[in-house]
Amino acid sequence: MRPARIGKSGKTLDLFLDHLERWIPNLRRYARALTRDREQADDLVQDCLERALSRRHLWKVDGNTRAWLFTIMHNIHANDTRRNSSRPITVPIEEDAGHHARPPSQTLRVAGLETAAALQELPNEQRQVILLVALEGMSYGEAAETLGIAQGTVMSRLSRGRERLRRMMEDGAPGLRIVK
Amino acid sequence: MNGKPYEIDESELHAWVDGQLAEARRAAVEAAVAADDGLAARAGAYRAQNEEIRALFGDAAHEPVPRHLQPHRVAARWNRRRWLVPFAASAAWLAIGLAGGWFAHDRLGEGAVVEASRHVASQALSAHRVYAVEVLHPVEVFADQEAHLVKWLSKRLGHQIRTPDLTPQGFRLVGGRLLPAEGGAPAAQFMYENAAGRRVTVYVSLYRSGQETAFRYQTVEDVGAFIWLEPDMAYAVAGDISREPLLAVSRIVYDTLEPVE
Repeated sequence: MRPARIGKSGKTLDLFLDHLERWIPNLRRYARALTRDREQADDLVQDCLERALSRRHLWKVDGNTRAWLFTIMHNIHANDTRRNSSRPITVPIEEDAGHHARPPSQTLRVAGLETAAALQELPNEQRQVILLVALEGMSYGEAAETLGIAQGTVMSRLSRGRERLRRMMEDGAPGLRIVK
Repeated sequence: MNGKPYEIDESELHAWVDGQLAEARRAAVEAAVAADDGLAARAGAYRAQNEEIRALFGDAAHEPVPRHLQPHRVAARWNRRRWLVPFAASAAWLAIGLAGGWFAHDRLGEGAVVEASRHVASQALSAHRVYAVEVLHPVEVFADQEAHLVKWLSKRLGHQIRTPDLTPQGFRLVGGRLLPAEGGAPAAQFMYENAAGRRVTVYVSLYRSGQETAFRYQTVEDVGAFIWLEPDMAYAVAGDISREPLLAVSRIVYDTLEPVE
């Protein structure tokens, strides 16, 4: 297909934006699970949308838009994580007062606290696969496409991640140590 | 570990938990799980993990999407920014940029853009100066008939117009009127007023420039205006307030009036 052109009357652009719109709730949900923070999650979604726009020429109308968007989000998140690991988290001044006071865990159901905490303990690559499959309901093939890995790798990460989660839950140890 | 756990493979257990198992293998997996407490415990734990994860984060997908995350709005904003900074350092633009300085896009048709913007600015500023000082008849249709006003002006301009909400900036809608623009074309003016009685007007006209531009700022005496062009429309926000608050108002007007077809 022709590249979508950014222009106010471009039909292709509208189609592209409609496709993006369809997946915003999914992106928000997944971002929330990755970051465990509402503001950070929505920032991630916004970055993802802007990058998708800048790469709209790579979008295919008959392709898998969800996998394409999730791939973009993963890349941004991976970069952010790398960058933030070496520097303190900054909060915009005007948001400092209200938002900081609310711990992310408050939005989590009490019954799920241990699961949430255990999930944070997993290596990122295992957490991603589990979230794509469990939360997003992706097929293994789609998760593989999203992450750019073989389906066999998806299965082994899923298996190791789930087993690790199960052990942690059985031991009951990590949960309440992490939850603030 | 009783029974024969290795009749199914590990991935089949997960596929069963996730509802992704091929129908033909279902009976085999269910039999294996029934015969093996260890497998059954794992399957139960994995299923519980799935449910916990959905319960933890699922709600986020059902919250209303904030405006700043709506793709059509992100695109409009993004597009505006594209014109505010030099876009894409591709070789051609870079060459022009090095030779001619910044704002490669704007510079290409600079004469035409400047002329068109000046023209629109003068119309918007004139309209502002004539009507903003009116006490009794500042508008034709007052804000108490806002729905009618919007419908009427949208119809006359042949474009769906919305009235920007400027209350966060302290301005409430007074009303609006129809104006003549160049060549017998219609234009619309919306007037806003703050608590101090300062007025800001929003000017929208059918104006075929074929250009898209960044905000431009122009003043005549103590009235300033931000102007921007779309290929078929021209917009201006005028007021005798200082540049920064006028820019803040203009950004909201831009976000509201940007056609999202």
